[in-house]
Amino acid sequence: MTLDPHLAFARRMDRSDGLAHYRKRFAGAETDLVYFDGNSLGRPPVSAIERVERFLRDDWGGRLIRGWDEAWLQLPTEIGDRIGRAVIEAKAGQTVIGDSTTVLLYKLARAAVDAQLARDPARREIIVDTDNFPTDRYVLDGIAKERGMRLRWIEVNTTAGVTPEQLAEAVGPETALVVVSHVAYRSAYLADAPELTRIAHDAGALILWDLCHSAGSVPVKADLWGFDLAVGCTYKYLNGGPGSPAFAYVRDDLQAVLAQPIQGWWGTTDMFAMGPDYEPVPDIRRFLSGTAPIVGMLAMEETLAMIEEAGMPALRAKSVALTEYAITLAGDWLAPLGVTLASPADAEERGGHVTLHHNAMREVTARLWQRDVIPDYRDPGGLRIGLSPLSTSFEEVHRGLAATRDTLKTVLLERAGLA
Amino acid sequence: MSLATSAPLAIDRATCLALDAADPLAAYRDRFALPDDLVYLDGNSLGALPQATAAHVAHVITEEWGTGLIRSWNDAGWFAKPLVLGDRIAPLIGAAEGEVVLGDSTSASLFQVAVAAARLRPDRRVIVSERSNFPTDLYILDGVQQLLGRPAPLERRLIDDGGPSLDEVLDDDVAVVVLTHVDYRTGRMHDMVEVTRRVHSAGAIMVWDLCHSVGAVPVDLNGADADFAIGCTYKYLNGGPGSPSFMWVAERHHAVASPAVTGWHGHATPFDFDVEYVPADGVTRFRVGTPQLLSMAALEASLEIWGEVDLADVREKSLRLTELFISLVDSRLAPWGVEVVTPRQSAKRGSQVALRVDDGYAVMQALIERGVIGDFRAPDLMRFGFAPLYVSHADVWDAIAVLEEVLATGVWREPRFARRGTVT
Repeated sequence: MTLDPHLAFARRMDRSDGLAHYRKRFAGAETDLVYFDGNSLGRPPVSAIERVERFLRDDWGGRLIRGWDEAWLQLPTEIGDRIGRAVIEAKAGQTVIGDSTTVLLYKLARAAVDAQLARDPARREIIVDTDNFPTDRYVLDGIAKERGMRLRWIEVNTTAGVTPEQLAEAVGPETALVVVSHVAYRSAYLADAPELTRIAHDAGALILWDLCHSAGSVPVKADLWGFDLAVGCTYKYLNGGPGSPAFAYVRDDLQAVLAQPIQGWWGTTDMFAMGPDYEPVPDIRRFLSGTAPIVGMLAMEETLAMIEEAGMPALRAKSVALTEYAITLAGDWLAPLGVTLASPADAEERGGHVTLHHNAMREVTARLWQRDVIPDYRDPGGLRIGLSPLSTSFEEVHRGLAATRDTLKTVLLERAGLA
Repeated sequence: MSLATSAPLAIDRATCLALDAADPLAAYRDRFALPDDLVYLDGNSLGALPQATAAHVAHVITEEWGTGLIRSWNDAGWFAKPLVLGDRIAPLIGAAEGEVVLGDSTSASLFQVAVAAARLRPDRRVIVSERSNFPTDLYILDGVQQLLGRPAPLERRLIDDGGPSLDEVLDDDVAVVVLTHVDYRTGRMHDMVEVTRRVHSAGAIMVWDLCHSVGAVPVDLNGADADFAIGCTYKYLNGGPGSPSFMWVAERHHAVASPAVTGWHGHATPFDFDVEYVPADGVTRFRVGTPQLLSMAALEASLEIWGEVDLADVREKSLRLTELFISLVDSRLAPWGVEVVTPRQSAKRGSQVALRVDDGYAVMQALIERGVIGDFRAPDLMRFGFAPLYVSHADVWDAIAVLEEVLATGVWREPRFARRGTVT
């Protein structure tokens, strides 16, 4: 019996993969389980287990309250700066970690629209696309209601995302803020961030980038591309653990002019002076509110060390190779079963995951989970395959798509009454 | 044994050890990983590490996160965790099942709750708080005033011990009153029932900040008929640095409350990814984004302990400790002009004692160097917290002895003790 050429290819790719050695630094990667959901919750770095244990025992347990002054108080900006440098190409002092993604979205979006309305009361529109991640849309809907503004929707195809032409059509003198996901959560469509930013700016609007699905999978050049604001998630490709705090980027020249609405003591000039009036510090810390969740901040530093070492270009190159390979397998094995690609076919327009469409995918996903192959399902009919470049091997992709093929065949045979 | 006596105090360290031997909560000290050489009187700021926490967090990381991966949102109950842990906090604050949910930081939760409270009184334009309230409460309320009071912000009225009083500021224009039950500096405790009654008489909504109460004193929110509350879990509840806050919303407000931040975890059907925001029923609508499961794992371990203890025992010991401390300050530290700022009447005191002394900051640093850890709150208060689960009567004795030595020798005058860290 000859070796499946796809498997031979996978093994060859794994052997020549310069990032292959990182895989064993993630817990569980040595098992047969196929993990296609690192874009939703990344695997734990093995060293994070020891790191958190050491923190609990020595830092919290041993230093107690003294730990705040000795180290923890600076963690939101220290880790923020590491993300800035290694992941989104932002110079120091513009990135911070703190609350959940949703809370940070709320703070930055409110800060942006408040500033815009103060400057020009006619700017009453927030532009967002119909397929942006729900929490983005819900938060903006709430902000629009509380500030007497309108949402202007860009209708997008769920297999793609917001194009420059669409944004150029939508923006105008009434636009206060544009909110776009850099990589669309369903389709993985990779937006043209520099161009969309330019279009928003030309119209006098601010733009808030949601980097949840790009941070750690796709290079981001926040400073070079002229970003105003961005938020991103740390529990996906940065492996921070379930619910680890999100990061926020605010371009340095905007920091003094934007006022965020959840005015907490961590954002003041002298938090232990404890005066009755809020005096925000004129730097990135003003976007903090309350006490930082330290235990949840530690694991991501282990991944950041790997990204610092390997560099985002290498991660992106492997990510592209992984998604190309998944698409090739899908073309050979799944297309004959009626599966279509619900992600951009061109790697330059695609982030780190691939969505495959078939009306049986909800059932297929449930059955794959039963056999330790873990993708996720997103309506309509989308099997979403996340391929985290540090922890995924090509052979894992092969195993997972072979299982998908076999499972889909079984489901289709059963549907036809033939099984 | 009553310690609240004006007679000369016939107490020594042996008496304290005897009190410890008879203490029904004494065994709980072994449930915490406290360094042996410390007297830790700052559990009101950051609680001690429970012995069981590290193993539980390691389990959550290796098993639930590492092996369960994304499946743990269902299989390990991650999605429900903010409500499940909320239900375990409920008995500590007189809340019913389904009324408490964990959120982000205390600041974010206060924002969420205060906006919802004010929206219940849309025709009123005043928010009342207290000048001595914890600063973040006042800052957050300032943001709420700006958000809801356009074009001109809602009016702020602050009560103060030196006037005006609550009765003086309450009228039919007051929408919300936000007070901290136990004052973070002085430990003074409000009469929750009486204050809530007066606020309701004026037709306003009552929001309680329980940061310095929960786990320190019994609280009965439903008994007091309060409307909203928030609180901290990293102080007396020992959840670890920055562990998530909780929000309590009285059941009668669940169907109409409209919180500030409308996130996907507060949606009626979050995984349908609907275009429209439809708030969930109950306290769930106060949820925002993905909960911080690792911080919650640490809290979950400490809540095991809180499920066992009787809050009446906690309160009784807390009062014995604070009374002992106050008595010893009176009898031994008077020569140095040390003033007890905390109310001497036990019904008005939480589980902490504040002392006013000249150069209190430097004195506190000298204490800390000698292994007695309290903290300092500007402008002039040394603050000592007595977490009844792990502070002993002997700790109180030893802390006073060290404080007496620091004052008597004047060692605190050494310049190194005047240097300020960021955190005081």
